[in-house]
Parts: sequence; structure tokens; C-alpha cells
Amino acid sequence: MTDEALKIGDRTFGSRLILGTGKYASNDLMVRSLQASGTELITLALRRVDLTDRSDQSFLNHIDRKKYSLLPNTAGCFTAKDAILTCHLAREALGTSLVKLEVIGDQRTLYPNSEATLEAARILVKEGFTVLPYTLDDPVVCRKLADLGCAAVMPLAAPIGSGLGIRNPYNLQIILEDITVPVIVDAGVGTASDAAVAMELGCDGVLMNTAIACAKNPVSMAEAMRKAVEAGRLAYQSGRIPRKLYASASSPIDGVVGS
Amino acid sequence: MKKQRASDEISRMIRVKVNGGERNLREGIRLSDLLADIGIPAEGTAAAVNHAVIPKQEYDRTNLAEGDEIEIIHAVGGGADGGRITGGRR
Repeated sequence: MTDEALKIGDRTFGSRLILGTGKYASNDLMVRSLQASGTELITLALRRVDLTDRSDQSFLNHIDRKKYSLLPNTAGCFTAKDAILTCHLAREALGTSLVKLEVIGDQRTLYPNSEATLEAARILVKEGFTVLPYTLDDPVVCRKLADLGCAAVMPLAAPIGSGLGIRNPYNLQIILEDITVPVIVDAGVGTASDAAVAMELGCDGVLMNTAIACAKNPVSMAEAMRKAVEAGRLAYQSGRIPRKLYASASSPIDGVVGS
Repeated sequence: MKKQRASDEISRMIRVKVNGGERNLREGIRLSDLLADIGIPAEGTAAAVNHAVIPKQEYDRTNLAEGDEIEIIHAVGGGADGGRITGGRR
């Protein structure tokens, strides 16, 4: 079965898996994990250059820009103002208007501040950014973000880095019914089956970082995630059978021995 | 006489903040000079002065002044957690 590519704004991606680039034990491990995942879109953070230690200033040197599109994020921003400034800096530093908007509202859960996310999204869309917001799995907030002109909505499945999996598939289903732009699960995936569930629900993609970077073997977990996303997508397209309470025999009923 | 010269020297310096740290710079210094002095490559970096991003082509037309707050950033590995770029409320 052939699949159409993931379309975000005016860009298309062959892979429906988006990867974060943090928490890897080494740059080499990150590079090999990206490769194994088949991803074409990776998210990265922007931080102050360390003026006292200039020993590792080479993060981008590890990234093959022909292979991976960059999705700079506003991770760590707690206000719309900081997130907007970060997007402006990202556009200048990396020459892309694609941004993963995150405005965090709570340090312990890293849940987003919906009000500030909406405020920042409104301004960034007007300024010509292609905005992919990290959001709660709240259908109303997701609809508002889509109505503002965000190129995708990225509801969390569980708290960032928690690995708890798809905690509220029903909300995701409502969001999927309601939203016409791509819906990408951002955060909470712990293992391959979580990614497969997200895709089986009909999500357009999955974004993850910790589940791969902190796995015992990140490179093989990246491969597992690639397969899970592909399998989940294929199952979604193939149309699963309805759930039934009682058995339905797979073998012919007639001609059973002794009947 | 010596004392006089020293105070002249001081009056020709400005005090600014670069990535949160205080720095004394010579008066009339441009953003492009500062970035060259620190050794910041143009590729993959961006700079803001007083919370306004300065396009690269304007670096050598941007004069720094007393009290300016300069942010110099670059891309680092990251997913969706931790850290902060500029002052803000946690």
C-alpha cells in the first residue's frame, strides 16, 4: 500500500517520525540513532553560547543538513515573549521558519501554558512562521491552535520524558476528528507499541526524544520506533476490524469431525 | 598625570552584559567586532541586543552602548525539555 507523505505547511516528509536530539550519551550515538530511525525532521534547542568553554561548539557539524530538516524548538520558555524571541533567533541562526512552539506552564509536569501558547502562536503565524505547537490533548485548545493557522497540532500523549504512553486515546480521537491539519503526538511515548497505537489511532506522526535517547540501546530502539510508526500507519490505513465481545470462528463451521 | 590618563581610559569603556555576564568593552565597538573577538562563527548562530534580534547583515552597523544586553545563541541537541535561553520566570 502506498502512503502519501507527511505534509507540514509547504514541506513534505517521507518519514512520519520526528526526533529530538537531546539526552544522547554522545553525538555519535545520536547520529546513528537518527539514521536508524529513518527520520527526516529533527528538533533541536537554542541556547546561549558558553563564552567560557568553547570546546564543543559543533552540534550542527554532526547534522547532515541534506538529510534532515531542522525544527528548532522553544523548549524551556515560560512566557510567550521568550518563545517568540527564541523563534526569531532560530530563524536567524538556522535559516528556517519552521518552529516547534513550546511555552511551558509548570516545571514539574512540563505541561504547556495554553494561554501563552495561543498568544505566541497568533503572533508567530502572523510573522510568517510555520508553527507546530506542543499542546495539551485538549480538543478545544487544539482547535483554537489550528484556527489560528498553525501548520500542525502536537498534543502530548503523556508528560515529556515520562514514557507513560498514550494516556488518553479518546481525546486524541476527538482531536483527529476535529482537526484538518496534521496531528502529531508529541511527548510521552515510552516504547514501540506506544508509537504504533498513536499511528493506529490515525495520528499523522509521532515526535519523540527520551524513549530513544535514554533506551539501553538507542540505535536499535530507533529502528524499533521506525518500524512501529510504519506498522501503525499501515494498520490504520488497512482498517482494523471492529471490537466484539464474543468469539467469531476463523475456521469453517460445516464439516467438523464428529458433528 | 598618570591618574588623569587612567580615568580617560575608563571613560572610553562601556559596560554591557553578554549572555548574562558583565563585560567591559571599548566605546564605539560594533556587534561584529565583539563576535569576532569572542570567535563566534556566523553559521548556526544568532545575536540579539536588548531582546531584538539583529540580522547578520546589520552586525557591522550595530554599535553597542553602555548597559546593552547582548545574547548570542546557537543550536544544541534538545527535544522538549529543560534549560532556558534568556531570563524568564520559571
